[in-house]
Amino acid sequence: MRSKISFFNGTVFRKNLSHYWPIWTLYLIGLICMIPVRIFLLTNADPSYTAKQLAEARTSSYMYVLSNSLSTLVCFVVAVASAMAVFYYLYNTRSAQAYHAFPVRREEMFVTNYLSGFLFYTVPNLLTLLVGVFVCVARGITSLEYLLIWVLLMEGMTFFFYNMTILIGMFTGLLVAVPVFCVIANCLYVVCRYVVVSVLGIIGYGLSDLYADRTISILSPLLFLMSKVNISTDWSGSQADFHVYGGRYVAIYVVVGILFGIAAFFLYRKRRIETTGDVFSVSFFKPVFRWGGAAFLGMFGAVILESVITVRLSAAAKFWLIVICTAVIGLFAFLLLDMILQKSARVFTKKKLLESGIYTLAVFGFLSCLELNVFGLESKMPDAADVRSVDMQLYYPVYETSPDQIADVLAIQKQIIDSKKEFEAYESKAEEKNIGWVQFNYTLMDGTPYTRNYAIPIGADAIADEDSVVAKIREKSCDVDSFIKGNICMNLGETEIRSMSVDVYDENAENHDENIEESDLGAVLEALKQDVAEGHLLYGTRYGGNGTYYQDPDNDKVLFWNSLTFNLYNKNGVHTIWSEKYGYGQSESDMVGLSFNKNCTHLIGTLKKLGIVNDTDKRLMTGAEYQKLVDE
Amino acid sequence: MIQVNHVVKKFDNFCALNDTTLHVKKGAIYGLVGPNGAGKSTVIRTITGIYKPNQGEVLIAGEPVYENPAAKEKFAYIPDDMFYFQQANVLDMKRFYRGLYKNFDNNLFLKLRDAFSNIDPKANIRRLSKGMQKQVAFWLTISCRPEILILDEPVDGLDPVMRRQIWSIILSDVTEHGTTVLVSSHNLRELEDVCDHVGIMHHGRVMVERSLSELQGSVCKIQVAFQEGMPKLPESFEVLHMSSTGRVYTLIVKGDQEEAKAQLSKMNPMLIDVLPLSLEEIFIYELGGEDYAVKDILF
Repeated sequence: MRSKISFFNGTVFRKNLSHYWPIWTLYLIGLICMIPVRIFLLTNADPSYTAKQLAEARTSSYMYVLSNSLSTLVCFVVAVASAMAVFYYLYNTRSAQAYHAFPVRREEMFVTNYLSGFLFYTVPNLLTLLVGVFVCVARGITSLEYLLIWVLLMEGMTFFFYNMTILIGMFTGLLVAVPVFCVIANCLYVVCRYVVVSVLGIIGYGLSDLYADRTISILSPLLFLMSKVNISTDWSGSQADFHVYGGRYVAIYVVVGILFGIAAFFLYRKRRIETTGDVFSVSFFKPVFRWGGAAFLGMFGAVILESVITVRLSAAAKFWLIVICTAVIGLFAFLLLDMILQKSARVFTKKKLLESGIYTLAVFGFLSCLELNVFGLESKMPDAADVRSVDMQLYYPVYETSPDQIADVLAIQKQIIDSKKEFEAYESKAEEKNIGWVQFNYTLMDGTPYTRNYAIPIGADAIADEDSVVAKIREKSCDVDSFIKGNICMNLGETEIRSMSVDVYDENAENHDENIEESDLGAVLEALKQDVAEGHLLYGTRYGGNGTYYQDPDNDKVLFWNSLTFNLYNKNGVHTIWSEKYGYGQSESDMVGLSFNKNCTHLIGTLKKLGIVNDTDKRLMTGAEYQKLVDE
Repeated sequence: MIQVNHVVKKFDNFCALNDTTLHVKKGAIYGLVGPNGAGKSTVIRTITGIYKPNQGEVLIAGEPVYENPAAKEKFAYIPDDMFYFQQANVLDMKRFYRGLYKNFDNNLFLKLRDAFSNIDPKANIRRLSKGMQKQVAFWLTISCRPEILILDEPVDGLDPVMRRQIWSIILSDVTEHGTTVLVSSHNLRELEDVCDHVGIMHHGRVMVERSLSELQGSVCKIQVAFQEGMPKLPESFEVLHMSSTGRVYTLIVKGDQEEAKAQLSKMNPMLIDVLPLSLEEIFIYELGGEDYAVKDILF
């Protein structure tokens, strides 16, 4: 007769709590020190404050503590440690066999261990909340909801990582592999994407730099939560405003965590105890590990090698370099990973050699497909109707939103794609100063970004030819409206320029800010627009690829170290190109700085006329002039 | 009490148990022997419900054992290498076993303390010698009052004094409570003195499974001498092995020893004598023709 199914075993539970007490004790002590103790210490009364000031100062310190202590990494470490401790017996042959010979069902073991580990972090979180409430009440802090939110965020993140670790633990029979796989799983998407995109960037035409502007994917939970979850204080208004970010994502991860926990439960029921000590307890992962690992390490090695080669290579040379490195490094990795799986160096069997040969052919095939544009990545362009906005950058960013302007930019990109062979040949032999990097950043209607980068000829001949790509981009760059959208803000019409200033240098090369009178703001802006229209700002702003500016040897003589700063305000949010590209929130106020150069005659003349700059104690200064002054 | 019926257990492509069938009667002391790698430990881990067989069934007292606490309650298992928690002492482990086994007898545990007087119950078990750790295992296991004791290489690696002590504990438990014992060893001599049933494993199969008396009654050693050399023996006479020194022949004959002696006596031998056969010799001659190294289980 089968026994009644039980889901909890008090003996195992008590053993877990007593045996792994250092985990929950240390975590509890850490939390108590991190939250209630710090709140208590930092909100000490200052006798000189009024009651209102004191309340504000205490709330501010309290929020600082909460914001400062919200650590995704701590959640990750505690979750991994808890999960590893309570399921430790699965990774040691003796204990795994002993436990599974005891008269306890697996369901009972799983639930008991799961609950034990869950309490390892939940009880300290709750106790911290409790003690924190007492401290806050004692200090007269009323915004207790933020403490609760803080605990919920910590609990939610730890819960997700805990379930993820248990699930990952069910795929391996090796204790040391659990944290390693957890770290890998948390970074897998980001790292793989980086490597694949890097290879695409080296082999494919226009596909470089794809990675640079993307936000971290939700598929890399640790990195994603680290970047998204925070509690911050906005000081821009009359009083501090507190914001909690990332709560929605934590909620999503909690749901995913529940699914992970359920999956782990069913995997444990099917777990083969004989796999204890194996890298993978599920056979399916062995070829995935061997093939995936080899491909990843092969490509990673190739990317690293390519990056350290300083000689400028032709497109064909780059292709063969990547193919050979990926194949050779991947082949070694393939055999090495198989040795790890087999726990033996004897992997040179006929079958494995055949498999490694197939790997080499697969690498060659895949990379050849990329080179020959079989997947159509190089020629893929969005339809004008699907594009919400584009910023094109050969010099400074040029931002376009109107359908006509977008169509013009697409036409320029099409011209570049059609000139692939000509431009690639030019890039491999031309002088560096005559090669320019143009980047197209499209934002599609559904918010999807689409980025391409190309090396194009920008020598004097090309500029003189009005049908050339560079000439067309220069023409677009001199469009005042596009300039303002791309370099100041996208909604300047409804955004107020509250003030403008220029940092100037005195006779001793010391700099200070000179504010421009409110009544003169319009004149300065008008002068700037004139310089843009006449192309004066094109100098010194050339894009150098990979998010950098091209360092022209004459920069020192022409480019000012000074900058023109705009203080912007919009109660609905200042919308800048950076907030669009990097996903920053749009705040009510923002600050934008613009570089300019000696060619900007209209701007310089206006600033001089208004007395903002002069040749004595309010100087505009290039690098060379600054150096000369310092030397004197 | 223990039934293993046509069990197949594979580890990836390696077949560790190949249609293994094994039966242990209630109250028997069943010795499972076989060379290293024969599948003894695998079959024991399958019997204890640690491994799930790919095919076949394992029953304990008529119930399937895999994921069945009711069946698992009936036995206690002592592996070659016992598992104890880090930092745990005997009392900690007792609390754990007491929580898991309903029949755990605390009085018996206290009573057995005299038998294990050399062990400090508050000492960290992992710091004890291997022999003492083994003793702790028996102390805890016997206190669980199991109906079946399953022992995997229980005395392997112990010195002779400790071996004798361990066997004495096992036998006294069997005598007092009628416990069924399944014990594995790769050393036949170790089991000869204690087992009443023996199963021999090789290449994942139980090749022979008999009671000891059956085995000893089925083969005999006869020394015989004839005036004119060895006459032709009748076809029904199954000689497993024959050797000679001068006119004296030594025959290992399969079948009833009295009948064999009577048949040879009819041929007017100068000398005829039936000698006792050790279990070791029985296995050598009984299974000598099989494709495995019998010597591996004897030495």
